[in-house]
Amino acid sequence: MNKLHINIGGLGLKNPLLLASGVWDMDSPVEIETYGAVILKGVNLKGRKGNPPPRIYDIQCGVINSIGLENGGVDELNRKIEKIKGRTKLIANIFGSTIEEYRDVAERLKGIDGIEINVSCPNVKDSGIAFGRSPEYVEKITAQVKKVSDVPVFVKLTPDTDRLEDIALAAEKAGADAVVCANTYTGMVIDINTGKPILGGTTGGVSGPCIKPLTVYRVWKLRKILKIPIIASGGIASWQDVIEYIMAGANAVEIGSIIFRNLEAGREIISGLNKYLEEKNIHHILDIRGGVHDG
Amino acid sequence: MKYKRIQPIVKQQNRDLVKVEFKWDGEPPMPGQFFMLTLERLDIFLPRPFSVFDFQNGVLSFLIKPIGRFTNLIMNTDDFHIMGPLGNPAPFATSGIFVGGGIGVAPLHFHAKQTENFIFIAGSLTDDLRFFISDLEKRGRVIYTTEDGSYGVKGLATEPLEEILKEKREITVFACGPVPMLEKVKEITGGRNTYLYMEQVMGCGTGGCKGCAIKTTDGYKMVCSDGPVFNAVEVIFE
Repeated sequence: MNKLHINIGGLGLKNPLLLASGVWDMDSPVEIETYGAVILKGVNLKGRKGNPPPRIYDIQCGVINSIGLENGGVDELNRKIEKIKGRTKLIANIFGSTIEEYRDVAERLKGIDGIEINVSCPNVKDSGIAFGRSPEYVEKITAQVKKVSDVPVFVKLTPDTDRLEDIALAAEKAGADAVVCANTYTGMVIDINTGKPILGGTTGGVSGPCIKPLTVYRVWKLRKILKIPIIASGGIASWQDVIEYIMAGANAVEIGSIIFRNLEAGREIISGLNKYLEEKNIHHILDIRGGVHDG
Repeated sequence: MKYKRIQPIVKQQNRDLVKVEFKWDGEPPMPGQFFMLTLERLDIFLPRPFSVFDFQNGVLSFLIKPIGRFTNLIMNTDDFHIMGPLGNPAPFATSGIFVGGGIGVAPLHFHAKQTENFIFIAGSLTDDLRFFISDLEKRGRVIYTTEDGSYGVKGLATEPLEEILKEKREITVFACGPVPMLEKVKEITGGRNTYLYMEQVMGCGTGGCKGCAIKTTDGYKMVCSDGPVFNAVEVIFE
């Protein structure tokens, strides 16, 4: 039996390792077949030109970015999806500036296996995180997207809130098939020679190994209250990090920034997980999952 | 494109510049292309893009000025990951003028060596560049400039360019260096037959993250996947 095969909200995946939204675009040379699924770059109805440069900066043990969800809109994405269909499971990451826009994007998407609702991007002012900090909006957006989608729907949460549990429960109540915990943390870097922000977008989202303990804590906290699966995302750099998240209560994980520095991180993680399960004589990866619910 | 673990075979320091050489059995780079180098240690997280200074007999070299956290560690590090060649080759020209400011001479050195007829203008504060690029003197005309006149022609690298263009109006110009220098080059040529090597902080280096944007007349473009060499006419300086 395949020790890594999982099922999330009806979506069967060959392994629990997903490639996070934002780090891969259609032409870049990542071996996407390695992953259980890839989450495509964020898309809205008509597209978005992105934030002014500089957009990305190295912080110690991580990255801060202010890309600003640059994309060409849902119709362009549909055309691109045609070219990569069949390589692995494809999940669209959708955002909008109104509830209706989320619904319309979900309705127009073609050829995808799942939808990740992005209510957590810290880099756009008129959408994303503004909705994601409100349980009411998260519930409405999730319900609308569910109504028009025939594929599993995940909600990617912001970690930047003191209402994380309420927001996650709102997503669950509205029918989300899983939550993704979590997006990047809002941060800032300043050039001490000029006294100005380094990023063109002033603030950015922090990711990478430096945020991992913060997100492990949030996954562990959500596991206690949610019935639906949790997909963990935050600072994973190795197979050991994946085990840690699963022990905290995750059913699957996303990796992101690490592939900037290690193009083969996915393959290394999968092989590390298989070896660990073999050595420990563990039947299936989710046998080690922690938390009070078994999902 | 290849990604692998690699150790330098030679590191050569002269004053404040370092040349690092690797054995490279992957796809040979073309002028304009670059490689991403990653350090093993996680506390310097992002890989850094380095343009090709030279590639001959299977040896790939980079000329680096240690100025930041990553580059300052290069002399003390022997364990890298390398990915490349990346980016698009520069437009082809049989003859050209190369204008390099400081460490900006690095990619132009490789480019000029593959150009039949060239004039190479290397601007610096001292005579530090000559140690590494004097091999060009056998292949074409090399003009060194320093702002204080302590070596070569006194003045900025863009000043000889203005003189030369008075006679060779149709020649292609390639420039790499600080932004004010690139702006000046564009001003002198009016953007005509002029190509600029652009720089930006990168994430993935392969067009995936949309991190290395620069402003152009056609909206934001990515240095890694649309460049790194851009037609001067389309580059918008801010």
